[in-house]
Amino acid sequence: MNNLFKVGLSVVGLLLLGGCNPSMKPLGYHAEKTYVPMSLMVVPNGYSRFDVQQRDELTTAVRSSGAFSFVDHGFARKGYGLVISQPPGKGAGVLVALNALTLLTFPMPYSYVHNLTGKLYKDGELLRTFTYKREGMSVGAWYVPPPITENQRQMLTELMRDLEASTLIPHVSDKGQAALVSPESQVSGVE
Amino acid sequence: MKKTLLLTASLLLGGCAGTQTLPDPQIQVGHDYLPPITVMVDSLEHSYELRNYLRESGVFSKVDNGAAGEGETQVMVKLDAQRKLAPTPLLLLSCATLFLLPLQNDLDTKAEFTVMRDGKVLNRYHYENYMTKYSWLFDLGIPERQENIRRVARAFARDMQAANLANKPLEAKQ
Amino acid sequence: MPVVLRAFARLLPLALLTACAAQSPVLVSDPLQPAAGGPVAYLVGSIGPLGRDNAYTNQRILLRQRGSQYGAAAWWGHAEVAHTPKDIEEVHGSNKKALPGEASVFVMPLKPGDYEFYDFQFFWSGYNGGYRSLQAREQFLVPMHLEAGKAYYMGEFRSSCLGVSACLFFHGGKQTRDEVIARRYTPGLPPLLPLNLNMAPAFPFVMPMPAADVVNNKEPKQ
Repeated sequence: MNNLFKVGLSVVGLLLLGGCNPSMKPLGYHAEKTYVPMSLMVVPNGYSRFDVQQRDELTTAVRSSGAFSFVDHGFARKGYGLVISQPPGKGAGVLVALNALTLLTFPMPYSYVHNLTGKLYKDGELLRTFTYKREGMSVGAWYVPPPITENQRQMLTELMRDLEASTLIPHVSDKGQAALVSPESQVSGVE
Repeated sequence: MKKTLLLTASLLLGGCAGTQTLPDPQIQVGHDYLPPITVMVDSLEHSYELRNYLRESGVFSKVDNGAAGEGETQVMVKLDAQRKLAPTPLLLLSCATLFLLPLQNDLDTKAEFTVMRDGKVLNRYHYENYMTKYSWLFDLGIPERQENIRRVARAFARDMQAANLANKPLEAKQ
Repeated sequence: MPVVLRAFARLLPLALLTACAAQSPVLVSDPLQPAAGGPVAYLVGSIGPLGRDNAYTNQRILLRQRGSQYGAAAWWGHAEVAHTPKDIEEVHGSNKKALPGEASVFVMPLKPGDYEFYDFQFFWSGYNGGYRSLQAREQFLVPMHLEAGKAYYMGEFRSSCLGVSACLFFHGGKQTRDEVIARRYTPGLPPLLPLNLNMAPAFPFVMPMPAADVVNNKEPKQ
């Protein structure tokens, strides 16, 4: 009985800790048809470790939706381009940082506002802006996963759904799709 | 004893220069610029780097970014550049020596260039470049990684120039 | 020992003062430098900030030989240790009380051939030792062909920043003004030919100079 209790407790503990996985779950949107080749830029453009990680995470999430036949990274002045940025909102404040004194154990509450903006450009001209916001309260402690990852996932899902609903970006035809998929290399140049 | 140790150490570390399987492509100089191309690269880290190296090759009059218009040449590039790093136990061993122990830091690049115009595929080119490099504390291997991408871009520029010249048999070049 | 200290004390101010002299606004890599007595092509122009906004900092325009990695640059700086001559000092715009912008005239001797203007750089040093630079992410390509024995006028490159990071160069032409100063640096300069570069590929990093009244044209200092 005692052993069973210990095993059960350890399993529950592992499950709780396993739920602390900080990476983003896949988007709740999966595309039927793909868009024509277009550019995607995720702001911030910086090279710090945090910027690169943020950019990678958001880009992977958006591409996993399967909506893009071909994605070039950067801002293009020709063709369709999508710029995803996160305008500053509100996050954990000084009080939550001071919570480190309790080793982030005390459940210090804070209110947050998370924004996400998607701007669709064609040939350098802004076609439409999609804005999303999530606000609420959370707690700054080690056992509570931060809400920003889930909020980003939800807002990105909404963005992809709205993009498809807006029908602003044309879809690639079957012939075009065949051209992008490469068969075995036909021409010279294999070194 | 100390001197020989230092000498052998410096010799071994000096031999950490990177090697690339793709030789530096030779581009003929003195020819006219080729018409502009519009390039889209399917790579998060190397998209603008590849385009800049295509511009640096001096073959194209303009290398644009994005989707080409009617009658313009579009180049779609699938660039797969993977870092091959030493396994973690070796990484930790090198860390214990403050990274004085060289670690494998390879870059395996496979690039597929598709040249299209008005939705029709004109040509496909495939290049591979495997860079072997042992990097350590004072040599992180950054120029070698850049050189890897640069050679792939120059190989494409050389082949485009050759294809363009092959289409003009009657024009005498300087 | 006191002798050494005295000598050092006497040499130190001299060393500091020599480092404060204005440096040449031209940087040419070794392979592009013309051989002594060999054919030379000159590239003349001016570079500097248009006003005293965020663009009043170390800046350069980069050129390279077509198809190679060897480059040349024209730069402007105002720091005590590294600064270029204050050839031009004028106020651009109608506000007479504004502080003047500055520029240095550069005479770049190069091996004749095909060159490309492809990039630019801005450098800022922060107050807490930080360091920031700006370069074009997607470079551009403005080609030019330079022949031996000729001098070409590239134009004036005056920089301005809209905000903190949106910095660009305004490209104008002040050949008569710059030619006078260029001849002071290189007396044997051949007659200047306008290069008339098409700066459209460099948009939006290089734009045509906006028309404005140039008030209070001060005497160019040495």
